[in-house]
Amino acid sequence: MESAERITGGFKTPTNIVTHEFKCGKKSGAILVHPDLSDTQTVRAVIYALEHCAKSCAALDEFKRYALLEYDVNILSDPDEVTHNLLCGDIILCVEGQSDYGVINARKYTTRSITEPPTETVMRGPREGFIEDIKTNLSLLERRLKTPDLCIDKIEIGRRTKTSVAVCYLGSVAAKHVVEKIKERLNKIDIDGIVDSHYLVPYIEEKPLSLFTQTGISEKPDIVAAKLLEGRVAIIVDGSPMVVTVPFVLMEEFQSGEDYYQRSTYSTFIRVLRFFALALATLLPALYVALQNFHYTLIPVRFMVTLMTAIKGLPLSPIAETIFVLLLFEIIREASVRMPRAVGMAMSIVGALVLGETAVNAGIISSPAVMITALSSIALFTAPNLIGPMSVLRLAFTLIGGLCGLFGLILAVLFTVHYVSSLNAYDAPYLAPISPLIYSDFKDAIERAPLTAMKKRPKSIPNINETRQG
Amino acid sequence: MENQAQHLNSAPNGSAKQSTGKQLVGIIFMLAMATKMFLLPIYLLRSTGRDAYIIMAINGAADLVSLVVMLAAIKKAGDADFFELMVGLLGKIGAKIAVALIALFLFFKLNISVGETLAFYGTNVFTDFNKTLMIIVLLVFLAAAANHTLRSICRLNEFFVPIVGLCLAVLIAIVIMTSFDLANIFPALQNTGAFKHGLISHASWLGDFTPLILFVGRTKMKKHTVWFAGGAGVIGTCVALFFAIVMSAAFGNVPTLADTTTNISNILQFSMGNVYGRIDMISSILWSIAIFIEAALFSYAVCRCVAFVIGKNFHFRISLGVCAALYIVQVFALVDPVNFSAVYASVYGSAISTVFGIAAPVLALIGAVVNNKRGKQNNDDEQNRSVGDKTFIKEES
Repeated sequence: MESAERITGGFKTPTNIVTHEFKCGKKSGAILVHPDLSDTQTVRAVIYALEHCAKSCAALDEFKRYALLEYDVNILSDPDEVTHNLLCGDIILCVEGQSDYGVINARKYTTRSITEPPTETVMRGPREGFIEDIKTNLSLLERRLKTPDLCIDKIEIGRRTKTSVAVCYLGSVAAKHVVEKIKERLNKIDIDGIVDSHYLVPYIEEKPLSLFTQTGISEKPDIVAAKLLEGRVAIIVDGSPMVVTVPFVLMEEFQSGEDYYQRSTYSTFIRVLRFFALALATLLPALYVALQNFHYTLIPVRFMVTLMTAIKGLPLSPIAETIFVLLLFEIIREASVRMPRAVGMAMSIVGALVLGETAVNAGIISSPAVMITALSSIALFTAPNLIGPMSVLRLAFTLIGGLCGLFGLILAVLFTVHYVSSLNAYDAPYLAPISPLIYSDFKDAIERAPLTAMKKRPKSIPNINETRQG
Repeated sequence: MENQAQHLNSAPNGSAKQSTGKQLVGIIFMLAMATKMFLLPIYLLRSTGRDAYIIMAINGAADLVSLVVMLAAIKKAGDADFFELMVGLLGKIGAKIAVALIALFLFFKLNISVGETLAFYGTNVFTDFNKTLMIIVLLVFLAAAANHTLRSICRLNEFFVPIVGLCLAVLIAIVIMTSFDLANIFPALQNTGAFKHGLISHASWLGDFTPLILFVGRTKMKKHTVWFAGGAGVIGTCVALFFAIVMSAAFGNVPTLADTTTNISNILQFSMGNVYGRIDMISSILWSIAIFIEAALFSYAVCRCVAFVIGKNFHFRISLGVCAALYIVQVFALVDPVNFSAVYASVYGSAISTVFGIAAPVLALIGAVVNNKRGKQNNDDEQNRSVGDKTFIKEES
């Protein structure tokens, strides 16, 4: 049949499409199905319904009104659009002599169940996580935000993948210019395909080459819902459990969803600890090298004696030794992430015992260097999303500290803070509320005030309705 | 409702308001005490003896007067920036000449802060300091600062003000615990000749508030910002004065002992700081962030002025040029960076600084007043014109 061939002819391997032909009155009809993407039961039921009414129906409109009354049927004429629907799992109904097509919704994909995301495990609070299906993800969000104010603008991105992307925000909270800017940037994307939400990140960031990420990523609907309530915009991509949120400020890296489910005092303590840990993680190796190379008079005498005993007879200079241990740690970490779990234990043994212990015993590296790197690396994990940029910065700082001492180190820190403070994506100052100083936002920054005290939305994030509670 | 962060801090490059009132207050605090706490007290001590602190007080008061004038200019300027005010006041060519001279003065001040920083690290912090290489790291930072926006520098300063404040608190606490005899600063003004000489030749550290010309028309002023800014200036000056008094008390009777290494850190070496594992030294090193930020602001100000003079916004190339010039002055032109300040501490240096220290804020204020008057006149003219038009229309009808 001509109309069916028009569709199947576009496929390089037409055998992927199943064609079922039938007679309707004096004409012939056919349905086209992509068996991998469609619900078999629906397909079977549709075929039964069509065969049953075939003698009395001779046009698409009649099939829609009588035979397929209980199904979601659209009549389309554009072959490209019809092909796209076929590839989404819909059944295509063709009738001889008609250029239009009936598109019957029969989409069904196998998706994994909703589980706790491995990247954001909590002891308290919801354990639901987003999955790869956009419909499920949107329903998870809509269940938490039961308001007509929730706007979901859907667009398709990718010339070949035609991936569904949903831009979600609260209409009376999110700043209009931010929403417009995000949509404008998304609409401008001209790429053959996106397979994950991370593909969109460079397109919506103001400085895609920056070391620091300027978008938030979350796998948990409760966190995304809370961010929408603060005036942010969420971008959900079909096929990805990671939801991107913008605008983004650095302070978010120090906040955890669990902070809001615990006592505020304890959460504040934990947040202060995270700040301290991150400073320690980034600066400790650099300080160690700088003090040992240039400023040993600043090291307390007792510690100096211990240190001198430990580094006596080492073949490597302090800077070479520390960078060697840091790189060793990075290699072990990367290998342990990539390798199968079954050999993880062996890897730990090789990493910790063989490389660490043996290298110290052999006198290649000193135990203080190993201890400092270990402490720094453990501290780095308190802000998991910052592991990437901070690992690079840690290496850079160590190098500068080793070559230029505290003079270079202070300048390097100033340089970094200066750069970070210049980031201002979507009118949200990256270092807010510390710089620029916004006192009211401190309630949910270093401090985590009780929810009763958070009467206003954060001013660091552009919004059009600052009142949160009366 | 408009967002605070949005309208205060996120204006794009080159837009009107790049600084908040709080950021201005923080910058003024840093400028008030930064270079005044480094080598100036030592030069004053060596030339004047125990009366050094009085000269410091006089210099500080003079600088505070210039600050008041500058703040008045910032308050009155409205949305017009310093360069627009200069064009309005002196014409295009006159403005370029004035700004070029101010740029030279700012470059001179930049050299002072860089030279003193290198001197501090070279003599107090490092046993072996390769100035020729180390300065490159500093220049990279200065070039980056000059290449970004005023907003970035303000935020950088805002971020580090608490750390600098904490270090100052530690240093002050250690100094107070030291057993120096405050009575050593008396009797005062015994050697009036030396006092006069010190006063005349050490006015060179005036003009620390000159970079505030950049804040004219670009600061979001609130009702009490001027008072807070003035207060920050007074506090910063008092802090510097406090350390000068301590220096006078410690070395007042033996000023020859005070050499160039006897600055903020080394005075504490004789103090209780040594007992606590050199917490004094660590605090001093962290405090030097204030000088770095001041130098960054000077560097940015020089680049902005040069950009105005040449009429092109080639910030990257200009910042490279300024840094290259700075490198030549610091490395090739002088044998020892400490000497730069020593040469500067002269009658000629003082004359230059006094002229520019007064001229820049006064020009800004006059420019702001003239600009306001012109604005008012234009408004009146427009009103008269519209009234005249209405009368004409009535008469016609």
